[in-house]
Amino acid sequence: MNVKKIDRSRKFGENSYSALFSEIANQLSEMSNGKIVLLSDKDFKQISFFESIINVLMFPINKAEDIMKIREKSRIMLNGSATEKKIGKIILCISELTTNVLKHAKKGNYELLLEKDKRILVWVSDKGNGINIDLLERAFFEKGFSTKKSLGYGMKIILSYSDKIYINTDNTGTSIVLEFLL
Amino acid sequence: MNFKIDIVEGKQDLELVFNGDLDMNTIKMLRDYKDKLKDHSGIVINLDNLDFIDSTGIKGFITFIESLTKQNKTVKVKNIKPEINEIFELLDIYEMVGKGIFDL
Repeated sequence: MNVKKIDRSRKFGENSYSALFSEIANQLSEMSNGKIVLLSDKDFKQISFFESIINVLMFPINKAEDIMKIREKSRIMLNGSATEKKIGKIILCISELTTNVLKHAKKGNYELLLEKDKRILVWVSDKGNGINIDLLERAFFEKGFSTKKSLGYGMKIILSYSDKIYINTDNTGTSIVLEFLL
Repeated sequence: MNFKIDIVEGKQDLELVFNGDLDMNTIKMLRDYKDKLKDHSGIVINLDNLDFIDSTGIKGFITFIESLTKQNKTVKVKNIKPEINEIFELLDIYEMVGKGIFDL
């Protein structure tokens, strides 16, 4: 499916885009029981994701081989912080998000943050063209929806396995933060 | 671990033992193996040593299975680990591919 990226703020005027943004943010929140949080730049920057950090892992996402390296290093860092099963689910989410960065934005950054006994944060960011927020609902809830040649299940997986999904996206890039409570 | 397929030749069937991780980086190896298979009408895919698969790996896996069935080979998939089974169920893979080929 070929999706043309429209800069909605230009087409509709800033107020209309803001209204559209709020509408979609509310819809996503409702449909996911508050799990999906779509944030503007300002709100995203203001969020304090953690109180104290024990461990941080950073890795660039440049090529397909990086995805496996990221999984391996993440596994090592998360060892013992949660059950094997839970870590497995987190690793799967990590693989989905980092793959999406490569598929949609060619490259980006990966960060794993561990707040001991509290939460695990998976943070991926890129400087791609952004996610068309009109399509977010379909990406999460429609079986097999994708704008690339793929199974279209990446978002469904992260929705199933994470406790919170923070999304900040526009035509300068995208940040997604997954929160897993311990 | 990367990805590797061990081939075990049986009398009738050819067994492909998957080892390692199937993701965006390794699914291309499936494409290479597609053409290497000899004239065995039956293929058994053994997932006992498959350590990891994500949705991109699953897509490649399904495409691989479909390419085999298009060649009129019978395909069976066995030894699915619980974690792999869970994601197959989450993504309705059994419905998508057809339950018949999975040894559950």
